Amino acid sequence: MLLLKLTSHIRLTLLQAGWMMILLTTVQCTEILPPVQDRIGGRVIIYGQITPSAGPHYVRISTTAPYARIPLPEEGATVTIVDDLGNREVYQEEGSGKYRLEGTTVRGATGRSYHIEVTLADGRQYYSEPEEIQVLTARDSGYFEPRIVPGTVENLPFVSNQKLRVYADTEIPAGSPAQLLRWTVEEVYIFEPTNFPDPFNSIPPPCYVFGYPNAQKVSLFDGERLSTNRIEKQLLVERPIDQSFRSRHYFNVSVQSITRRCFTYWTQVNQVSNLSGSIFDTPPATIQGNIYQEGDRDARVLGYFEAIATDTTRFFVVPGYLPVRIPDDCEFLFSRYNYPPECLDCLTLPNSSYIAPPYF
Amino acid sequence: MKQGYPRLWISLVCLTALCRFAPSVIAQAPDTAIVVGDPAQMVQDIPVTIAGRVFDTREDIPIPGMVVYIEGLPDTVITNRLGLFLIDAPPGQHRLHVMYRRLGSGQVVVALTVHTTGTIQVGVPPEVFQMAAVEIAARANDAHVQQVTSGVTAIKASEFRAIPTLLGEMDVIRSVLLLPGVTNTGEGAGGFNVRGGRVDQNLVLLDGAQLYNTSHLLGFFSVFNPELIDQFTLYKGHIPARFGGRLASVLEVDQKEGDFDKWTFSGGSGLVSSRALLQGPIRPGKTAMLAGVRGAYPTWILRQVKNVNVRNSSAFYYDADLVLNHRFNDNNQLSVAYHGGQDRFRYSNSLGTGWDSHLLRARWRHILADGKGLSTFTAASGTYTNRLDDLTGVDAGRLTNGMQYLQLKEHLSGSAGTRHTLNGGIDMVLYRPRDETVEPLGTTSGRVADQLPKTRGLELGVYAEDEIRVTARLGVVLGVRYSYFQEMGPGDRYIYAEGLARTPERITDTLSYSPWAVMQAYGGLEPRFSLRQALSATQALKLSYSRTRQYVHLISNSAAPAPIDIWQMSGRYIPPQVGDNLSLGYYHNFRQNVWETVLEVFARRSQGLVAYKDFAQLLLNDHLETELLTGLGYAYGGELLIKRTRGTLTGWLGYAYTRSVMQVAGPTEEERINQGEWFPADYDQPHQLNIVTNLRVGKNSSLGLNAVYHSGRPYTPLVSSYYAGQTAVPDFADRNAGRIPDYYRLDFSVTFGDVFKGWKDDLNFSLYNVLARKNPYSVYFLRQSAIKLSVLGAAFPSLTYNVYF
Repeated sequence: MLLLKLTSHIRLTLLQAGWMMILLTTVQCTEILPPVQDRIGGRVIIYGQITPSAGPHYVRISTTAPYARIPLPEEGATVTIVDDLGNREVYQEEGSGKYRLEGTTVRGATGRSYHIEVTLADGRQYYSEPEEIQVLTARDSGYFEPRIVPGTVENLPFVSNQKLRVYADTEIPAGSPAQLLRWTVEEVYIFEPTNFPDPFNSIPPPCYVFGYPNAQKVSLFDGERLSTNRIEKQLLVERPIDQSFRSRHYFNVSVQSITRRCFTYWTQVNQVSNLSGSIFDTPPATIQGNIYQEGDRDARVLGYFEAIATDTTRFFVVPGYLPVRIPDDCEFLFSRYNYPPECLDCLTLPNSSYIAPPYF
Repeated sequence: MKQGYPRLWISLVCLTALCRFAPSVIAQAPDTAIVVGDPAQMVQDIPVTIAGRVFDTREDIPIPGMVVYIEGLPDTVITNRLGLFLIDAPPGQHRLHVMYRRLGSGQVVVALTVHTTGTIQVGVPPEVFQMAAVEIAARANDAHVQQVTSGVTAIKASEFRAIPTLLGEMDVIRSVLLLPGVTNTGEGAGGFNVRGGRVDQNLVLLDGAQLYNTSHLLGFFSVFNPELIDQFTLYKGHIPARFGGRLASVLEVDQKEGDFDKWTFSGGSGLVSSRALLQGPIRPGKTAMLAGVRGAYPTWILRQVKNVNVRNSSAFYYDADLVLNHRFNDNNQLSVAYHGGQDRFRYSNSLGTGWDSHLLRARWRHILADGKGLSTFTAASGTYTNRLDDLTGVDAGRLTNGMQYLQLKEHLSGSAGTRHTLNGGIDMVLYRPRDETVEPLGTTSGRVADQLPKTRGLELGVYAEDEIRVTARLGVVLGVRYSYFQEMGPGDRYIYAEGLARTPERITDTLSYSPWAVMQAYGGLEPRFSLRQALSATQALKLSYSRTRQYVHLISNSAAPAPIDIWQMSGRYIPPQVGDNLSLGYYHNFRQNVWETVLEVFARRSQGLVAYKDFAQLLLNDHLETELLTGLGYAYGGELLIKRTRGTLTGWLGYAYTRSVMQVAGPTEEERINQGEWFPADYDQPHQLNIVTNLRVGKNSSLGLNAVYHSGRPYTPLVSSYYAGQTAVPDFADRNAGRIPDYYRLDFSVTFGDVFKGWKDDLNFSLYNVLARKNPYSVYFLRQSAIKLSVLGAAFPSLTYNVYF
């Protein structure tokens, strides 16, 4: 009825009709600009750390490459660590921009500060501002909980929608100095290749695969701003339950005490790594660490050299702990001809090795 | 170290004594005779001034924009937004004409017998000023060309009612965004940018009272109940001297006065929001009231979304208004109004935002006894409280901040002779930003309750303006405003090491100030100038210049205003923003004012623009200046507006080219952005094209179609990344070196009038974003992927039923 009423009143002139048509047909006028590219690259990246542990400790040096390309390793550099007592030790070059500190002269110790001096092959010199290893009194315990879609547990569902969450409870003894804490989580699991019939015993052994779930979301705690002696059920990792859980799957949860400057650096990393495009986003910018170029402090140098104290706890998950059926993507079947590459050679998985960690 | 207490502002309390009562004017019906003044005091041949009020005889409401002239005399005046006018005439017999259209047939002719100065009222029946459904109503059709000032746009409620809107909610801000030179970030972003200006550079007034938050639900709705709005006026070119405190524009929103004769009800209900208005006489002819309420309930829509986080979210808002108007006599009218609102948004169990506002306003209008002018005294007090809830984790807590202010203003307008229209006055705003606070939420939160006092501010303004009709073709507005500002305690001022960038580590001394102690003072003259040279009866050139100063700043390090942004007073390290606006326009009407066209170029130089260091920490920061920088800004461009004001098809086409760039070049590298080079501001959107059309169908139905296009705004793109340990760290280019894709949207609406027989009602169906374009809101990065975020990626239909009793 309303439509009839409307159409009975329409009196479009040709001009008016044309006007409407123009509006309807000239609508697709968007332009997508190509991504901005750093055509030069060449910003120096230096990242490394020292802890009170025995080591070895590493420093990696590279330079940025244009957009979406891996940084180029800097080889032939001289890296020296200096502590607040004036002790010096030179890193050994391992190749691919990786430099190793044996710790024969300089070793990490709580309350001592350290910096590095870097001379690149072309003579440019860089240095880090001193970092002091902070007291670490916090102790944490890691644990996990499966996150199962409600109503599907009884059917032992396929695992694609199921998640496993890793938490930490952290205790900070009363009377401890305020601490700035960071957590990292490393996972290690065994990956079994396809168990083909093997009369000649030529199937390679299983691999030990190292992973760093949720490395892009660094968990931080500001003990100078937050007042509590217990941090309960802090979510550190949420990852899918997949084939990696078919055998023993370890999680190494480390809590680290860091400096205010280091805390600021990782806070900013979190901010630019976890943008959502909303009005609450921090405007992105290059993060300035604690490394500078000699003679030109305003030159942008990327990375950080951190001196940290760390404490690690470990736990593992076996299939029996999980109320889901975990499929075997590498399962041998007579009728099957195509297998994923890692089922044939598990060293194709990133960060994999035949060498078992000592705790396996 | 303690400082002295302020003295200057205290004397302003005396402002309230400026209004006086006067004898009644002579009420009048059309086409009858009026006697003005006392014959015994008449002096032959000396012109006298007649103050008049034009009102609608049906509803007794003032009619702005009516053309008034006296036969045989050169002056033609236009009633202001209160329906008031001033006109000079020598003693004797005259015929006064009041008309809506200069060339139209409808008019009221009054026989005037003038003895001395006096006041009159002229009632105009509705048939004289019948308005088209969509047009620039309530002002003379050629006022566009005739008025001396440039860059002023007035939109009546009847006009923005017809514009297709998001979710069927008529909206003042969304209507403003359809004008050339006005943009914003996109859907879900509050505020608006005028001619390359910042959001906080717009002064928004509701019946003269300042507003500090114009958006509901993260910008999807504005705070104005459309049922209460009479009209709004945007000043983006010449800013009259009576306004101060902002650099880019003034948006003046006028509410209805209330019906003095009969009770009426109007309202509308849609899928996510409803509104209602009740108005009528408490004492007929003397006291009228107006009560409006408005609310939104979009939560039920969120419940339908598959995403569990969205499904667990909620949102709502309401606005409530109460207006009382009392006429003591024909010369004195008092209006008291309250506006309150609340806004709540909660995203799943992780984040919540909200704000509350209370605004109380009183206004006393007085026609001076000698008929020489009008006095308007406004007093307003507002309170805003913002909050942001972090609901999870060990740092779960609630942040709050806000603003309280008290505003007093006395404005006088009148005339001197036949060529001068005078305006002058004095105003004061006392700012009391609310303390920033944080408090823990939940038993496991490790947050420590904290409170950060904010400094207060007092802004004073004295202004005078003369609109001079030099010749029939040449008109000039000469104005000047002097503004003065004091930053006052409580607060600490930190002293930093000389010659180095300000950082917390470089604090060398601290000066503590008690409440009301003066910490810093600024002030200066603000000349205002506008010139109109008519080229013919339908063409004019207009040139205007204005200097403005802004003493309060919205500290917001994001692309659009966020719910917890801080209003910060100018101080030792945050100087006032100073803007110099220049515009030159060519105005031309065609076909008896059916078509209006404007071509205008403009430029603005802004000093003292607040900029932000990388990763600036703005909340709960008692040395905020260490995170802020100041710079220089330029905005320039041109606008073209072609408008059809009457007929079956009405609307406009507006195009604007606007560039907005800034430079932050401090003495040290830490105090520079992009190495001190010029770079595009966050709101730099060069091209903007709006097409607004409304096709009248029959008596009460209409079709509406909008097309909106604008360039994408700048963003900071990723150029590379590296690993720090196992974490990929992005590395970015210079600030605002990239630009997000352009924005295009098409909206459609159809309104059916007289849905139910015997009722005055209509049914509106709107389709917002007809093409379902995924218009970009922002571009951001996850690892090395550039992700375009679209707030609305689909067409949004809505159905709204409106009824008027």
